[in-house]
Order: sequence, then structure tokens, then C-alpha cells
Amino acid sequence: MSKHSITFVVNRKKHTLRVESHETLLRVLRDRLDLKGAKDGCGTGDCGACVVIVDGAIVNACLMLAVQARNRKIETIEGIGSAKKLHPLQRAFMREGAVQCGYCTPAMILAAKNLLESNPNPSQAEIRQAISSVLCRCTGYTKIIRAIESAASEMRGSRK
Amino acid sequence: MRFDAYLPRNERQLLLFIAKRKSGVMLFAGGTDVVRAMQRDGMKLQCVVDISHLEKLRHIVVRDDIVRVGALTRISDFKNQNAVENNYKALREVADSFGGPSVANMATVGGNICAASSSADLLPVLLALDASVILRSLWRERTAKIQDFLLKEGKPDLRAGEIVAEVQFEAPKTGMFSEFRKIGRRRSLFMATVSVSAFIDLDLETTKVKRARVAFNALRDRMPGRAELVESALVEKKLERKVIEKAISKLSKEFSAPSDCNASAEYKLEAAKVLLEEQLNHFMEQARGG
Amino acid sequence: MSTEDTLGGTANPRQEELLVVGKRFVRLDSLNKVLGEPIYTSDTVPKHALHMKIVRAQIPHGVIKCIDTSRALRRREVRAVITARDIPGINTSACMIPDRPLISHEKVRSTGDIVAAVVADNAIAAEDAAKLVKVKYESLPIITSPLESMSVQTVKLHESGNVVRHMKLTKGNVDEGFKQADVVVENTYSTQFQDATPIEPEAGYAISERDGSVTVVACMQNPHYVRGAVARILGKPEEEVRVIQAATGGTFGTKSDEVAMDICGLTAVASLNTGKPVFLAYSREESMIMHSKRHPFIIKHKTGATKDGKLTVAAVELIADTGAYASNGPLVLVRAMFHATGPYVIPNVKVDAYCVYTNNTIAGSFRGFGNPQAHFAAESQMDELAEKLAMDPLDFRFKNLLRPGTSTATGQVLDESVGLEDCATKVREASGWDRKRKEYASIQGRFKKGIGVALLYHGNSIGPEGLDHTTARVMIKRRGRVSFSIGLTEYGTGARSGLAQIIAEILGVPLAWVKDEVADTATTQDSGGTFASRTTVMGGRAVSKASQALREKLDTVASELLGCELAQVRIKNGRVSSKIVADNGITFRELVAECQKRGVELSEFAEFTASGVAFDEGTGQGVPYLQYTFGAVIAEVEVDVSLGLVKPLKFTTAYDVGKAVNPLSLEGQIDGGVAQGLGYALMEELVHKNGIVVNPNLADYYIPTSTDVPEVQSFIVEFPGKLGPYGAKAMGEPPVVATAPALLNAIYDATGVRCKDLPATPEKILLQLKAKQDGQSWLRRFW
Repeated sequence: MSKHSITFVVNRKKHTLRVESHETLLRVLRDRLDLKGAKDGCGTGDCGACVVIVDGAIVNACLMLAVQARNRKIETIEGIGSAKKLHPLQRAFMREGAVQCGYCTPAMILAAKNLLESNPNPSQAEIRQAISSVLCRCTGYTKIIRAIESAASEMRGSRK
Repeated sequence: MRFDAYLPRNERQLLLFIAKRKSGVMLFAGGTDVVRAMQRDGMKLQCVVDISHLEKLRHIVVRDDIVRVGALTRISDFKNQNAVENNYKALREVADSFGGPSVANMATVGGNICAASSSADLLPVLLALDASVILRSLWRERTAKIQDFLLKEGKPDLRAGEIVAEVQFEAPKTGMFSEFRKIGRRRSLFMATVSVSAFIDLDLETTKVKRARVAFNALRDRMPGRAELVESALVEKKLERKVIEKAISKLSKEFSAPSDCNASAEYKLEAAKVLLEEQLNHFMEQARGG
Repeated sequence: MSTEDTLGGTANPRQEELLVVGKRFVRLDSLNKVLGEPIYTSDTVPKHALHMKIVRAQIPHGVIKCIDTSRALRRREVRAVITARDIPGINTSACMIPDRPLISHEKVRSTGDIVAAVVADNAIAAEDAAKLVKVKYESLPIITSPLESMSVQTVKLHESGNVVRHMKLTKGNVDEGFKQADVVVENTYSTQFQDATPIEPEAGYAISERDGSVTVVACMQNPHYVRGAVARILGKPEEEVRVIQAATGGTFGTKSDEVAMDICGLTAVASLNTGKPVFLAYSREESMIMHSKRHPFIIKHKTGATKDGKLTVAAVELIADTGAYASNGPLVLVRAMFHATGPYVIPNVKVDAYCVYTNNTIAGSFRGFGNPQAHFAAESQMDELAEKLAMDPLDFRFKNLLRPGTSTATGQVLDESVGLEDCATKVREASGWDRKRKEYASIQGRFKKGIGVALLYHGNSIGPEGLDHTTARVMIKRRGRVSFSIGLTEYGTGARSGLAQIIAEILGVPLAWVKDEVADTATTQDSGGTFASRTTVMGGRAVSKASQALREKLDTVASELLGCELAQVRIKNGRVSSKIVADNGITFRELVAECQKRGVELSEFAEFTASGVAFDEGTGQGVPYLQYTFGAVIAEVEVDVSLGLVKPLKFTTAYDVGKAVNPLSLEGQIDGGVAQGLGYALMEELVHKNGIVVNPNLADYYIPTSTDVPEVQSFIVEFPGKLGPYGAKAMGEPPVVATAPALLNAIYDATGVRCKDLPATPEKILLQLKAKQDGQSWLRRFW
């Protein structure tokens, strides 16, 4: 029982892997699937740099064992946009100066994407609450919030 | 650290597995407490049992006037909860102030109860709602009052082969009010310096308190508990200013949360009084239609 | 146009409209970051690298009796256990004073001391084996405070004694100053260990070659310092060590000091030892225990003024706790000493500054570098004096603040580049200061509001802290693409992108055509350290010098091609034309091709050294910094007086930045500085109990979350300075300097209580409020 074969979907692609019991989802994403966007900032679920979306909810990948991800759908930063087709949030973060050292950026963008999926027109307070799981030491959050508001507006406009 | 993992497909497999093992087994649901204990406190594990997929244990239903919350209900489930009309406000307040939305999405009701400590935010609310814990093992099902289930810090009364299956409390009705508030050194992602949950069942015509329950995250030592002197000073009285003040004054006699790196005992007592008075005043205003 | 750099100080020598500098361009490195590209250290570790885990001292002060590594070595997956014996060169890893070993071998002086490093096949094996390394100590008495350290006779933390430095500043005659004063305020303030907590913990890996050379990749601020340190540790010439800076997830000073040298040195030693790549990443706990923090200060501040509100005297004693090793303590002390009075004209000044060893973990570089501590005390004093004088706190400041032509605490006469008054005026208007003070004063009940102000000045670049020299190379490649190479690094400030903007402006090309080269000691020259907010100011001078030289070459060829005078050549947006005949032009690419055809080398290397710093070592009088950034911060708070909870409502800030090269990046620095200052003021404290760090994690060490930081309104004021390109001034650090005193002054305005010890936690505020009230009636009447 120290190794398990699990199947899960990451960014719409199915994977079957043999993982060890103690491996966290974060380690499997980074080391086995080479998806380096989710970061290890503390290892204890306090900084949020490892946030990814699992079955439509944001979680701390460093607290989740890989075996727990079996049969689940996972979204990471690598799946939401590409250099040729950026997600509106990615464009907005760049445009609004919401990226400084960039270490929290993937997690912030995923938390914001998750918020906008259920709440396309959030208030500033709702935005602050939705990203509160992710700590940022560079930006003071101000431009991150502005970027999310800007992207939300663009996304609402393109739905019409 | 390396360890084994067992992945039960249903509750029966789970109960069978833990019935056989005496020790070294850790149920792993949200993982929020387990991984932290491993990393920070060097806790050693031999085997984890992943119960995060047991969907039958994740529910919030009302039946026979009792709210039944499955142990694998995530804290964030209380935010979107429609099953209970006029959901207890206290439960929504816990979910909103729980350590960040991502942790709230992972942490479970059962996990929070078994933490049995002053940092488990649900406990003051469950105490105030006079909740019962349903425990199941391969051999039997038993019910325990939440206050009896919390033996001492970090030690719930979980016996060999048992899991927390469900927590139950009465469904809210008109005249019942509940609140929860916790304070700390910042506005999100903090362990409570002090948290309070008050519950009142009021006769709206006479404004007399039929039932009152008041719980703190740490009352005596570092354990959650109910302030019984405060409660008895409220019951059978009209909920008005003088009564509230008298009830608060009783708190000094039974509140003895110790100093820690968060705050001194003196601050905690003062804050406890203020937070409790706040909630009782809210109930008073709501009862008046304010 | 000569090759002499003419851009320093003058706003725009070409007198042309600026197309790139001053614009809100997206930064060069943003795209990779929003895509989550693998650019950070831990993302690029070679697949089969060995993993290292360090063994730290378990006690804060003791003699090492023996280190037993035998059980760890017996583990199958363990490849090596490195101790002091295994260091081939010099066992030192220290910023300034060589008082700190890389691996301790005789004594440990803090729980951040490294006693061994285990190298194994994977992280878990290394971690498990590290627990098997057993060290026997003979305990020594633990010194936990600088006051104890200064007074104790029997415990010597280092051979040189317990006081690392004692520095003095003297201007005028303080006794006279006190005689002239009608009002005197004297207080003692104290500040805490603040941890920078960059979201990326420190990490690095080393790859050794068979010829004995080593390449190190790590997050860091100063690749050339690291190279020098690693070469000394290995006992090799610098040419055999190559250091590459990986994209760095924040630092604020931690990755400038010892930890970068430690990680790179240890992995290099281990890699040579094992013949394989070796990777070391600190856990958050290790990171917080081992990297340098902001120095706690004890500040005794005595200030006096006449009844008309003119400052006459300031006497200040600063005592800094630098922990077990000096790190950059003496330099932090110097900056604090020179700024101890705040940005005011004071004829009589005395500062006594001490940097002291204790058995706490080390304090060193952290954004602000002594200035936040100095301003916390100085700006609290200003409010206390204003109250005693029954003057509005801003009015009192206007009466005394530094203006062009006035002289500082060191007798330095300032030139025209002093925008302090402008900044103070702007924030006063924008925040509605006068109206709000009246409005807030009349609020009754449980939730009080307050508004507070703090002014600041921050000496630019290194000043008295060392030689201020930098270099850069700018190259134009085929097809007109431009690249530049400089040893100053990017770690989130956006300063490197700003350099690209300067280059693009001078050469006349679109910003998208300019790329920066990786900071790699193999291909990049030493440009000095990336600290003291010097990238834009100093790096900017070097790249502008190199770009100017290139531009001259281009203009020469262009003038021949277009048949016009040199001064009539225009290059705009990649198009070359002459001022007289606008439509006969060529593309930049064509011009470059022509230059290459003619054998004109389109690569320029430039150096720049700041000169003019000169002051008396004994009195501090003279010119410690060549220019200053000025600023004003107004904070508004709501205080729940029954719980002591402070809710910041709004910040209004204005900074004299000389010239904003990229206003978007600059605002980002201001926003981030507000948040760090807010944390410093209200919630952050790395607690040591008997030398042991009690809260080395992000659950118990509280930095502001998205729900803690309010709206920030910032104004940019430009009084061009003489030092930076286009008149730019330093803006990396100033934003963190005045936030705390502005908040503390606002709390006082709201509640009448003054916290003199940071952080101002709810407990401190509530208990002070209680002490202020009579009896017990206060609690009942909060409605």
C-alpha cells in the first residue's frame, strides 16, 4: 500500500500514474507531470502559492495527497491560457502591473478564475475574500484586485 | 516521511480496515491538520486512510426537524447551503472566516471536531447548537454530546474502530438566533485569539429567553467550552440591557483562557466580554425587529 | 553629442518628447510569469540532482564538543555528510565582517548556525538522515537582548567584544539646543525583528565539472558577490566558478546576504565532493530562522522646539540588535544614524549609534535598511511635539521640513531637487486632512477614526556604505534587435525593465526590440550589488552611457546616409530620418546593416562611478548621500476601542521620485511598501524566546493578506536629481519607510494612545486604552 496507480485529469488531459502514498498533489504536478506553475512556498498550506483548482474548487495542493486526486479534474495555470491565446486574466495581470516577482501569480490567477466562474461581477470585497488564501509580499494586492476587476469586465462584455 | 495509504471505496471498507488496526492509523480527509502536524510538529505516521472520496458522508440534510451534517462535509459547504432554510447564521460566519477559501474547501466537519482544540473554529458553534456527534464502528453506532466528546486538548473521545459519521443539531426555527465571531491579529488566515458563538431561543412575544447557550474557543485552559454561569443568568429573563450586562459580568468567574503568544489572559477576557455582549445585543435588536 | 554621459540630472537633454521613458509599459518578465513558465530555481533543477538538507544548531550558544555523522553516513541513500572539515577553502560566509563561518566547528552562536549538511539521493532520505546527525554541546549563557549584551562583563560573543560598531553624528551643540527649546519631548521606542518572508524560500543548486569548475544556479540579488564567496569557500580562482541568477521570487534583502552564499557554497562543495549536481531548498521554517531580518532597534529620542514651532535640537541613541553575526548590521546602522532626525532642519544634533551582537538569529538587509526604524521614532516624536505646541502635525512639519538650500543633520546643503514640500502639500489636499481631522475628532462611540501623517527622506544608492560603481553592456544585433547585459538583477521590482526603457528611448527603438541577458557571471560584468535601490539610478547611468555611445555611432553613419548634420538625425520607433527632410528615411534595421557592413562595432561597454560622497568619520558631517528621495504618507484608520482592532481605511502617498521611468512599476513599489509597512506597524513579529525562534512559519508570523490592505492613492512628484538618468531617484525602498509612523500617528489621533513598541497589536492598544481610562467604567459605555 505504499504505491498506488491513480488516474486523473489535468488541464483536460487524462493521466495514469503510479504514485507513492506520501507524495502530495503538488509534488506530483511539479515533479512527475513537469507542471511547475504551482509553487512550494511553505509546505503547510499557509501561503497559497500552491493553489490549484480541483473539481471546480480551489485547494492547497501541498496539503492534498496525490492519491486523493484520483478521478478528479484538476486545472493548473498551464491549462488556462498559452502565449498565443492568453486568458483575459493573464492579459489583465500583465497590463495592470499586477505581476512583480511572479511567485504568487499562478495561484492568484487561478483563485480569480474560480471566483469569476461563479460570480462574474464581484465587488471589491468579494475579490479580496476570494484571493485571501494566497499571500503576496510584493504588490500589496492593489493592482491584483484592479486586474481582476478589469478582466471580469472584459469577460462580462464578451459574453453578450 | 514515508507512509502507506489505504483507499477505502465505501464506509464499510473503512470501518473494516480501522477495526483491525490498533494504532498508527490516521484518517486523512482535508489534510489541513495532518500535513501541518507532520511538517511542523514532526508527527510520525505509518498509514493514512484517505476518506476524502466517501461522498455518502458529505451532506447537509434536515429530517425530523434535525439538521444532519455528514462528517465529510467541507466547511465551505456551509456557504452555499440551501438545505436548511434560514441557515444558522453562525455556520455561515464560520465558513466565511475559516482560514482562507482554499482551506475551507478542504477542511471537513469531522476533521475539525477531532482536532479538539481552541483553533478548531466549528467547535464553539457546535457547542452553542448543543450538537451531538454520531460515532460509528463496525459493531455499533453511538451518540455523544459534543461537550462530552471533547475530552482534552487534541484528544476526542474516539474509541477503537470508530469514525465520526455525522453531527446533528436541531433545525432552526423562528425565535432562534445564532452568531459566531472570531478575532485575531489580521483579518484573514488566523487562528482565533478569541472566538465566541452564542445561541438564543427567544419567546418573541414576551422577549423571554427560553434557552441560551454561549461557547468560547477556549474557556478553561485551552479547550472550547460553554459558559454555564452566563447561560443561567440569561434563561427565563427578558432579553434586555440590564440582563445582558449582568450575564456578561458572570464571565470573569468562569473564563480562564491562558496567555499565549497571541495574547494575554487579560486581553482574552476583555475581548470575550465585548464579543459576547455584541452578539447578545444583536439578538436583542433583531428580536425587536431592528 | 559626446560620449560623456549627459543624462544624469537633466530631465531631457535632447529636448524631445519621451516616447518610452515615463510610460506605463508592461514589464519584460511578465509574460513568463502569468504563463507559469518554469523559470525559478526549483523549477530547473537537473533531474538526477542529489538533495541536501542542512543540520542546524539546536541551542543558541555553546561549544561544539563533537559531531557524530556515522549513523547518517550508514544510510544507503546518503552520499555525503559535509562538515567544516570538508570545506576546501576558507570556511567563511559573511557580508562584511568575517565573523561567521559557513559551517560552525568550534562554537554555535545562534540556532541559525549550520553544523553539517547531508547529501542524499532524494529529499526524504536527506531529511531522515539529517535527524541522525548528533551534535554534543557544552552550553554557554544565552544573551537575548542588546542591552544585556552591552552591559554583561562575563560573556563575550565574539573575540572583538559584543559591540560591533559605535558610530556618532554631531552637529552644532545639543546642550545649547536644549537651552533654546521651550518644549522638549523624550521617549524610548522599540522595534521588532521583521521577516521579509518573500514567497519563494531560498534555494540553489550546483553542478561541478570534471575539470573542477562549478556552475551554481540560485535565487539571489548579487551574482558577483556570490561568485567571490563561493570561490573563497572552494579555494579556487573566480574564473572557475560560474554563478547564474535564476528568476527570483522576491527577496527584499534576504537573498542579498548570507543565505545566498551559504546555499551556493554548500552545494558547490557537495557537488565537487560527490561529482553530481546537488540541490538545496530551504523549508519556510529554515528560511525564516536562517536568513537575515530587519534589525530590532531601541531608540531613545529627545527632541526640542521653540514655542513658535522651530526645531532646535535632536539627541538620539540607536541600539541595533544584529543577532549572532554582524551581517550588514554596521551599514544598516550608518543609514539609520544619518536619517535619525527625519527630513527636517535641526541646527543641533547628536546621534550615538550602536550595533550589538546577541544570540538571536541574524539581522541584516531588509528593504529600508535602518530607515524605517529611524523614521518610526522620528515621526512619532514630531507628532508628540506638535501636540505639546498645540499645533497641527502637518503645520508643524511645514515649519521645519527640508527645502532647497537648507541643510541636513550632516550639514549637507541640499540643491533644488527637494520635493518634500510638494509631497506634503499634495497629500494634505488629496486626503482632505484638515476636514477629516475635525470630522474624526468629533466621532463618539466604539469605532473611532483617526488620520496621521509621516514624512520621509531616503538617501539614494550606497552613499557611505561602500564603493558605488556599476557597469553595463548594450549590444545591437542583426535585424536591429537590442540586448543588454548588466550584473544588477531583477527580483520583482521591474527595475531591469526600466533599464530597457532607457535604452529604447536613447536608441529610438520600440521597447519590444530590447531584451535583457540573464545575469550570469560568465557573460556579465560586475555591476555592484543589487540593493540600496540603485538599479534605476546607477544601472540607469551605465546603460544610458553605453546607449549614448552606440547612438553616436549610429548617428554618424546615418548622417552620411541621409546627407544631413549629425545633430539632425532622428531615430523614432525604429525609423531613421533627418529633421530637415522628414520623408527620406530608412529603417533602423537598414541602418544597423549598413553599420555592420562598414565594420562599426555595435557593442558598447560603459562604467559609472558615483563620486562626491565625503564626510567626517567622527562627526558624520558632510555629504553621505548624493541625492535623496522624499515622500509623504497620510494614513487613515478606524479603531474599535473595545477590542483594540485597527482597520486601516486609506493611504494617501506622494513621493518625489525625480523622474518616473515607468509609473506603473513605481506604483507597484509604493503599493507593496505600504503593505510591508502596514505589517511592520500592526502585526508582524518574529519572536525569539531565549534565542529560539518561536514562530518560523506563515501561520504564526502574520503578514498582511488581501483583506488587510486598504485603498492606496499615490501621487508621483518629479524634482529631477543629478545622479540618476533623466533625473530619476531611488524608489525601491522609500515606500516602506514612513507607513508605520503614519499609521501609529493615526491611531493616536483616533484613540489618544501612542504605541512606542512595534508591532502595535490589538492587545497593546486595548491595554493602553484601559490604562488611560479611570476605573472599570470604560467597558460598559462603548455604545
